[in-house]
Amino acid sequence: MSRRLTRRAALAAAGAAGAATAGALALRGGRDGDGPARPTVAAVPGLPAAQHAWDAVLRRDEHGNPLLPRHHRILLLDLARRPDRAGRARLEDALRRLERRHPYRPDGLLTLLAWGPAYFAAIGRPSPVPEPTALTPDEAPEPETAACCLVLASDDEARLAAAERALVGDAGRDRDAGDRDAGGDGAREGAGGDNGALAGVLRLRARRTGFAGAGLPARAQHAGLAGTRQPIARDAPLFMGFKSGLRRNQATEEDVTIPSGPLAGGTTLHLSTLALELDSWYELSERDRVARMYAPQVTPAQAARFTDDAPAPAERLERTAARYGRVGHVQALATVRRDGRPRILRRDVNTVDDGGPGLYFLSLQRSIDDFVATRQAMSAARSRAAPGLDGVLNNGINEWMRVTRRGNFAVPPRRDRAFPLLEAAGDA
Amino acid sequence: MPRSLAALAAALLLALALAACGGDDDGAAATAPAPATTAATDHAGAAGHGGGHDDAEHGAGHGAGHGDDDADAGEHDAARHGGHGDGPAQMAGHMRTVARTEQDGMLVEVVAMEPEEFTVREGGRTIRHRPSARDDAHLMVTLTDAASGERIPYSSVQIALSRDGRRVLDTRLWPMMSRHVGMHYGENVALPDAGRYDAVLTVGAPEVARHREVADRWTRPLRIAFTLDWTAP
Repeated sequence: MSRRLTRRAALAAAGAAGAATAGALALRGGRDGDGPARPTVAAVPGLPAAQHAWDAVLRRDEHGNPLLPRHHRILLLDLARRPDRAGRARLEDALRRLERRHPYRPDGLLTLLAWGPAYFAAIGRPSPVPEPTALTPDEAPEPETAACCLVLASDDEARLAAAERALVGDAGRDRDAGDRDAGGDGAREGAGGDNGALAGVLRLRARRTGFAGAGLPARAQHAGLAGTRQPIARDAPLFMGFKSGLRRNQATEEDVTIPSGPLAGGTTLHLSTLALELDSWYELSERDRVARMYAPQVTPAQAARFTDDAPAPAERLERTAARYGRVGHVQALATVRRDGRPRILRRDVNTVDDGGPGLYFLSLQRSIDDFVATRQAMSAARSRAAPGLDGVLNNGINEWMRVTRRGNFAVPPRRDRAFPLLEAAGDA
Repeated sequence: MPRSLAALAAALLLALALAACGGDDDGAAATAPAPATTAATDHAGAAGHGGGHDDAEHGAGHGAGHGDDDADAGEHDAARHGGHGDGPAQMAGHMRTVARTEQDGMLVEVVAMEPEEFTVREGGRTIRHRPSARDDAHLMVTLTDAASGERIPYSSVQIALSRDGRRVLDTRLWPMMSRHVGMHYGENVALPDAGRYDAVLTVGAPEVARHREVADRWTRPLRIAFTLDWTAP
């Protein structure tokens, strides 16, 4: 009962927020004449300084591995005005209202707002993150060019929908099936977000929906999913049947936090969109899937005993390639660790936005260079003794994925999350 | 699934449309320009595919094809192909070039024929990929140096098909050779529903040592979008 009341309250509040701001601002490059220059909504006390500091509140499995909220929305937004102090105050107020309405925990709402090169170009500052590019010879991704990327995450789908409506009104619903084009990998352009709290500040470019958690991939398959004839395990947390967030196989939030400079206390975010080929993946025997995911030396029985880590064999990758003619995904990634730990913190979620199985690979790292090094390591194994192994074939799980989009974003600390680095750009 | 050579010959009509994909070019992925024409060229083959897939015996070695059927490549069943052994007549009967475009001196052609058995080496084993009963065609892509006429190996090719924004097929093609087609990239695919599909071809930069005259050619992946008009066999 309390859950229903909470949900109803959230919906009512979302409607009120939308009504209060709808149509308040036209699309224009405004100076600070259309609203207060400072936020008027009080910040929720006690929230972490880092936007990416989710771990302390995430649920844990029996081995202590953090579990992401089960449902995600990733909103890609363009600027609806020239960034200024009034716009920043309105954006910060909108986020604070969400935080006052929804508790900061997985069954409430977790958020993260990150800014891309387009934003920094708009404020006349060098971007702290590079434009996205193809990272391997076999991919031709489209770049994410939105000004910012807002991640909303909750175990409660209805709460998530309410939060989205509060921000962008009906714009998200208009694109409810996700953004698509040929090959299922494009974003539809168009105006949006004109009747939510972000109206006049940010405009919705595209929305992405994702999920992660035991049972959700199988549920998606049962609901009708192209390219998945083989049954997905009922309790699988991700489409490929393996866990991705073993805590000792991840960078920590501290590892990925930028220690100094304009974004001190923040991090960087990479967002890839991947199409997965599950039919042929599940045509493999379990032993072959384990070999491809971990290493040829790893057996399914050993993999079943992995609890909070997936240790790679000590053998050098080239030697494994020569002996087995193939290498595993995890062992390839183990070549780019820093201080014994991976350089990126994965928070990836599955999707069916284009009707087929997909993955939004969302990762946090101190520098985009850390992601690039990690991704390139996925394709780097070679051996003259294994001519059948190239950047894709016989190389981890690369055969079963196609990268369709890539985007890089900077994640400022919470205090500077709305129109970050504006003062430094001389606008305030 | 019964197959008809005549039906397959008419199975594919493809118009390469402009590949205005990418919008804001990230500077890394090249995008195909609007192709000059659509080419639909028939190649007469000699022998039809024998059908007769023995999936029970060979487990999962079919479809998008990464099955772990540990078969001996030399164990080829010539009878399944009309007893023509491994000569040209082994190939399925009718091929049709359904798309052709040229970019950066690389001729890219998409060819379709009936489903075809092939073998793949993986981890020291030879994996036999027999067509599944659901497969409707063997899709092939050939990459050719327009200047020399030589086929380009060591690339990677992926094809994605969608309809009304919904993904229907998204698969990577195997690097493959045959006496009939030569070096190509291919895969058996299930595409039973007739109609128009949006297609995207991703052609990787060949990962191969190069002589000086081609050192700077084809160094960026290509993304080629086109429209596929498909009629089921």
